[in-house]
Amino acid sequence: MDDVFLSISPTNERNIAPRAGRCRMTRDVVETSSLTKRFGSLVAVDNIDLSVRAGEVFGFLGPNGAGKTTTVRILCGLMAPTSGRATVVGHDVVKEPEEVKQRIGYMPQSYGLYDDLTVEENLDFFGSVYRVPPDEKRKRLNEILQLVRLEESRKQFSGQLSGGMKRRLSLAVSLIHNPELLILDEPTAGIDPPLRRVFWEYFRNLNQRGVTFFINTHYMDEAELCDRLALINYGRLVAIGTPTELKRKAVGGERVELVTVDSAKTLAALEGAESVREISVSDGIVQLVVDEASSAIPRLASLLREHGVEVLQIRQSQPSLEDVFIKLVQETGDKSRQ
Amino acid sequence: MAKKEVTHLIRNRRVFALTLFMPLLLMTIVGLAFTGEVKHITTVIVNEDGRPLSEAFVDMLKASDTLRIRFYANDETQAQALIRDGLAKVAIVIPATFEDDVRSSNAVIYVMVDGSDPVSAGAVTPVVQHIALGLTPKLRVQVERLVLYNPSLRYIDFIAPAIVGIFLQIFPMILISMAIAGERERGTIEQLIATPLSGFEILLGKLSVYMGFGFLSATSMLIVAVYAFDLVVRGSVALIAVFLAVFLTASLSLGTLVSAGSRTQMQAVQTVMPMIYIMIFLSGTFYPIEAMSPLVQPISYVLPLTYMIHALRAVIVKGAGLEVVTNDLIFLSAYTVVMIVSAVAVFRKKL
Repeated sequence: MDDVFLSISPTNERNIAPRAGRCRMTRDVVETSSLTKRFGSLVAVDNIDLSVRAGEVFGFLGPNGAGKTTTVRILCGLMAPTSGRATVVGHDVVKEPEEVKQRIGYMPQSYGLYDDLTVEENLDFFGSVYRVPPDEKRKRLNEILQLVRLEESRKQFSGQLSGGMKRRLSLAVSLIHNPELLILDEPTAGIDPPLRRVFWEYFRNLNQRGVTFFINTHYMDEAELCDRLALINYGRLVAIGTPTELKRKAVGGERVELVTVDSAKTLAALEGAESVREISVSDGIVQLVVDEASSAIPRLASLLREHGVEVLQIRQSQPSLEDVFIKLVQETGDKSRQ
Repeated sequence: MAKKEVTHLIRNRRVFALTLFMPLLLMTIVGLAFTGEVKHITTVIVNEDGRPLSEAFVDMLKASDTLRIRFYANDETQAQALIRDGLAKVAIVIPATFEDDVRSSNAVIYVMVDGSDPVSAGAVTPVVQHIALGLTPKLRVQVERLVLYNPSLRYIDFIAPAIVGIFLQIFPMILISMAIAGERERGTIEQLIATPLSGFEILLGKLSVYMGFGFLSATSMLIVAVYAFDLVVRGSVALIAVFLAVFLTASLSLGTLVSAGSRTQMQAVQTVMPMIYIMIFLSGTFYPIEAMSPLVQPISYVLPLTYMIHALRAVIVKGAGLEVVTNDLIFLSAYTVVMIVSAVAVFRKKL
């Protein structure tokens, strides 16, 4: 099901121009340097440097307790960092938190809207709080309700909504003032796969209209959908890059799978072959790690033919992001123990 | 099961402290406040006679525990002024002909009591009668009560202003602390502080609503007291309104301070409870402060409710003007400023 989304919008085709009337001082929507947050002896966020470019969907990936929520709260101006700096939409989050808040949308991990207000009243309240002019507010309210498909529930008390509807309302509220950056803290945690899919449709839809996304997640399938990912563990940045780059980093190259009639003979033939970094065999399938799969595959195929090995199948295999995640996280785990 | 329950109780420190110390605190306060007999009632003596017999009588009055003689006035008018200003509760007037009257067995002592405080008024008369009998056991001494205000000595006149004060102290404080703690409990605070609203704006929004609510409640209480129970408001309504506004601000700010230390509504209520008991029992609502044990009197004199009730009684029952309640207003205003500054400082817009 992931392919569907991957095909939606390649990065270079996206409209990343700033919207009219907004002057963007920097192309980096989020920029942190040596960002650190301590709670007593616990270092929740440890010296994080990262930058998020305008128009991208940036994934912030890490296990529970890695420091994702704390980071996001600092970026939203809800919490002061212990040290380091963070600039969001061109403003320092400590010095000018209100400027930041006015121009970003934030969806907290836990649902935090007023149960005794209706869907419409919640949106209306937050619209006024962000000082959206009444006419524009009414227009946006209708647009957003349409987007998150809550038009029919607009008069319902939000306390009566189902879990998934509450999440949709939560997203709607974060959109009411037309923010240029959306910071979402595990927006799809605890909701069913079909709805998660719908959420990512919303995200892509908004992204195409120029909204930058900063999304906390620990779902691998969601991470695949991000333009770039930052991997965080024990509060430290483990890796940053596109999903492909991260995979390459974790594997130490690219992976090629070989299916042959005689795997022992295959191993002998590949002994000492240049460009092959690692070889392993499982269930009769030979796994290779090479620098670049596309150029290595024809060379390997001819090499094996020369040695009289019959090749049934040779193809590049993608490691799952899950493997990558576990591998990179384990490496840092080891490092931190040293 | 019981073991688990005890664990819950001990882990929840606030409840634990409440169950452990609240009964002790409550009993101690009530015991110290309500000493059983009314003592140390501020008294003004008007001795128009001045001859030895009258002086002897004054000395006997001085020896009484019930009375604390703080003033000597030249005439009744002066004494009445002292009572009207709330400086004394009782005036004892010895007429110029006292010594002669005693000889002719026709002596009269006038006891003037502050009718807005029926507890003191009720306690003084028998005591003075007793002392008078001690002076001239063979002679009949008649003690007359001249009630200066509130001639009917109705309890409603005494209690209605106090109830307004208590209500304004308690309910706005509970409501605002629950409202703020509630935002925290439901998690809505996170979404709220993620908006560009300043902490002051959030606080102001909440305060103004509960301020209006408090005004409405106080007004409706007074209306009921006036129309259903014949309370006569003798003083200026504008002055009452000023006191209501100042006092409401103070109790709402106190509620905000309470909420700062509470993560849930339950915790907020648990924090407010002990404060309420202390305020009600020690503010002179039901029992004159002068009559309380000296141990708790200092507490009474730092409670804003004490000043609020004093002022409301003075203005409503006695028709006192600003000059009489200036001290109350100064104390309450100073207290309110301190409270609101601390409340704004404490209500920081951070998680």
